[in-house]
Amino acid sequence: MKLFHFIKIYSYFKTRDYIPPLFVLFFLFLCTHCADLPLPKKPNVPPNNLIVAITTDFVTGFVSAMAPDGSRLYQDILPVHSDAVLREHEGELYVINRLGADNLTRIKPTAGYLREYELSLGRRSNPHDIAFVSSDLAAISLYDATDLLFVNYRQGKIVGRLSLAAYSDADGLPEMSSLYYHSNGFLYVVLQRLNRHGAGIWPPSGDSLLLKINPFSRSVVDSFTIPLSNPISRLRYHDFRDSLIMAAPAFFGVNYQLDGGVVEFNLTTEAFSVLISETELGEEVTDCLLVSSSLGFLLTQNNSFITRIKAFDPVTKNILATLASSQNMSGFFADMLLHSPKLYVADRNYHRPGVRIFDINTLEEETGTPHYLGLPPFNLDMLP
Amino acid sequence: MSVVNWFCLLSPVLIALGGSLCAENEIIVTSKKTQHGPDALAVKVNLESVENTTAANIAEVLARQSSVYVNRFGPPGTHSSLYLRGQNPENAGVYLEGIPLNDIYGGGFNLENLPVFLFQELELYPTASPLHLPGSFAAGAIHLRLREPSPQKKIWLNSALHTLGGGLMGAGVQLNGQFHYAEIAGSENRYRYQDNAGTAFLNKQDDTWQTRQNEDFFQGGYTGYYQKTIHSHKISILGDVFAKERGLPGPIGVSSEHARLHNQRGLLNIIHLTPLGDNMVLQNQLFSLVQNQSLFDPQYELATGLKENQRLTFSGGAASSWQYFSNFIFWRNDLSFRLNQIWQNKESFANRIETDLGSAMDIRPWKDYFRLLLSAKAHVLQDIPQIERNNLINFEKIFGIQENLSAHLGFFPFSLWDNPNTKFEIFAAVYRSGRFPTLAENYGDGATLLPAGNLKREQSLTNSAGLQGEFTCGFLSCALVANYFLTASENMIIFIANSQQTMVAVNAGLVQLEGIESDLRIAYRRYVSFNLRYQYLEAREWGQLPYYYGKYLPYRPRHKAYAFSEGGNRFLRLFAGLDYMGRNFRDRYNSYYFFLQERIRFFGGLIWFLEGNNRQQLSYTMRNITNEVQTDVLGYPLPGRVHEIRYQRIWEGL
Repeated sequence: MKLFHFIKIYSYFKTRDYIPPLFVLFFLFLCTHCADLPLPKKPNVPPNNLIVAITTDFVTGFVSAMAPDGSRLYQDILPVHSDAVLREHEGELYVINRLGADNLTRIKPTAGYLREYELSLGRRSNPHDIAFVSSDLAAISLYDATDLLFVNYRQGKIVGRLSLAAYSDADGLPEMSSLYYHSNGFLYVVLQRLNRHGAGIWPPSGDSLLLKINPFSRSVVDSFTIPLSNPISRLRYHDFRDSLIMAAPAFFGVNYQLDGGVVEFNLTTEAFSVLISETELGEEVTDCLLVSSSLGFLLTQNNSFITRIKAFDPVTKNILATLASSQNMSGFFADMLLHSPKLYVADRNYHRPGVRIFDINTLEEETGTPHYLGLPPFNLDMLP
Repeated sequence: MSVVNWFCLLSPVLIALGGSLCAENEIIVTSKKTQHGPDALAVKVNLESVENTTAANIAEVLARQSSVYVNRFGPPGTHSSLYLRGQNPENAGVYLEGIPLNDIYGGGFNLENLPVFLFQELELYPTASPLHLPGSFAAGAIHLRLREPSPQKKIWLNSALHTLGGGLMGAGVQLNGQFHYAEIAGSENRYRYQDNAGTAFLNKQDDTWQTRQNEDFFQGGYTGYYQKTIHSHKISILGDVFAKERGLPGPIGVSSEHARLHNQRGLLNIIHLTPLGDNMVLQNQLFSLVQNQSLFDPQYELATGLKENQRLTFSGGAASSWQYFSNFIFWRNDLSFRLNQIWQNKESFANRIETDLGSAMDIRPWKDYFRLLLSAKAHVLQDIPQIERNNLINFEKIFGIQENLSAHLGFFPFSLWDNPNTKFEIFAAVYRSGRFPTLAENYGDGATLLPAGNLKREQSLTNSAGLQGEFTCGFLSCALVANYFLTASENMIIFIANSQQTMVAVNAGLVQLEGIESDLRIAYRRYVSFNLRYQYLEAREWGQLPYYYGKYLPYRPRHKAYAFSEGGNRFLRLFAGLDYMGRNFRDRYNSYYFFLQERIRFFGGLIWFLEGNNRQQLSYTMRNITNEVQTDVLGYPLPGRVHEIRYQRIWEGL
């Protein structure tokens, strides 16, 4: 008990001694910790000569940007929906906020990336792409609806609709996706036509279609059956061949099958050809971009979900080089952008996400490391 | 806070002071952690107090505790998830009389399925699941304790109505060591919310006020508890059935009007307790739990591609515990075994076999001056997949052992002064705990979530220190708890998009959680009581993902406070409270768009005792008095002001 008496006496005196320092510590804690969570800051960004990107983790989305040489990076310029794509037109940015936000947003870089308007395109309509037709008219494809929308993109108003319900598959939706407006006056619309009533991931349901539409009379001029189904990539126009290129992997991902390929649609002859098939590649293909008659780039994915960037010769169908590979299950290459002489690739590797720059002449990566834009990039475009 | 709000909060105090002349008994303020035994470290929440009987359900009771943050996806009856000391919902175990209710498939437990009245007490283990509860969870556990049947005959009748278009009706009977309670509850959950038509950033012209659709629910359940003593053997049998149907309205932007979720639960628990001499007890337990979940999506609104998705889980197990106790030591050894089987759409999905083996000691070496609690438990798990979805992915058997260790050293300085009215402990503790990945994280969902393969266990190490005590001075009683904790959690599972279509779980997270929890309760006899709780939490990510590195974890406000005051006399009691939440990120990337501004929600009401001894009472509660419409989870609106009337009748000694 003597020990406890000692503790009792000691603690009585010592407690009094410790009271002032305890108060000081408590005051310091209040000063350093009692502020609430800080708000992030918006960067100052130049209005032009940038590679712009939608970055997302599918919860949060942002518009970010970088200088074409990667020397300057501008992260988190403006928040957007977590599922969005971006298109540049005449120096302004148009963000298509997909399912859940379902709107078109115009951003003016010259006014400090001001959001000029936010046009609702219909609840659960899931807009997918925009094509600029004239000085004020644009078409927007709706993935979860049957109407092709026409908007006045200057004013931010819906001006018309064209029903494509007649081209739907059994689930009642045609799954219209990528758009391209050609200077011949016609709008080309990809209809994926997937089966939403199957288990899990939607597989293709029969044939996919390419529609030729007169946007001014708002009528379907012709429809073409795409030889390979499920064209998931952007429609990319290549003027030296006057053709539209699309990657159509058919069954892919979890439904892995080597039944797709890259399809080319010649706008002059209005005939399809398979540029390279998945059987020839030995992998599935998710995107394709042609640089010249002898050089193109592919994004591929194998049965272990490893994605690769490959350079190939469209004539000989030879793989010239594999520029980069993702690690197993660690992300994927989401988009490609050509700004000669460089190829920009959105790398969603979760360990080192960012935009990778390749020299299309040497087929070498310029810096060896991705240019970090905050969240992993999903979609790229050039702001001249 | 406006003058009106202060008045609301303080009005019970004023009324109580006015009515103090005719008051009788004292409010008993008890310390939370002074027990001797396996639940010695639990924070015990009395569910029969005025404060908690006014709560809509267990989720609301938990939301008022300082170590808990509850995230609501809608009004009561829909869905809410639990964050214990800032950890993910999957890391918190929920137990009903020792039986784990968590879905081993994944997704945490929905706290909205538990009525308050059924339970007498809630034990909160905010750092690690204790020895006597099977399984292993990195954040801790919630243990719900049913009302103990007593020999006295009693009949209860409960009813409630509220302005969301719903209510409940419950009836219970207690006789000869039996307790039976049945309750049905439902609500239309129709309320107004602001719909921005998806244009969240700029366009306010298309914003409209809408009525929430497909958020209704209907649930019913029966719980029976039977206790019988034959010679020295005490046998308890618990049976519980529960069924619920509710709408799945989804977030505002992609709302669904026809998707429905059905849940059913059936539970049987048999406990046999027998003394082995004067200082030893042997406890044996057999239990089985069947849970079924069916999701109906007739219009394919959820985009899963399935009209119906069903999952049936069976868990059965046995446990045995040997306990020794004396004035000096309490020693407990536990062994339990559990077999879980899951069927998905009537096809066998996976087996999970779990075994727990552990030992715990509560040692008080010098009478009441010190106590040392030591616990060690090994949780052994074997997952056996029984699926072959396609030829891409190898579904592998998974085997692992998770060690749970804890040590708690307490010092009771006031014992030196021999003051019988004061209990005061200064303590330091260290915990190591973890959890195995859920079956969905391991083996995917058959659609967009891919099997991960080689996922590691989430593991946490927590250091904690603090003080707790209770004091009585004349008619004034006071209880105080103040804790500091520092937790490091590694291998935290994050879902990553690994292709255009698919996601996968990866052990990419490393989290540091640091916080202070405090709880102060003061009562002046029966007239008035005041509770104040505050939590400071710093939860940051330091894992492998560069874009989350250094960011604050979502749904973890730095400051959270709760105040409750209650007072009155034996005829009328008034209560009022407030719930404050500091700024809160709702996304892992900490976007300012997802920022939830600080908010305060007020509630208040009165209880009118129509007969003495609480035999007949009528209560009125107004929730969200100031009509605060900020929501917990983005896209899921919450109702504004809600009025509720409750009536309770008890017949005793029939």
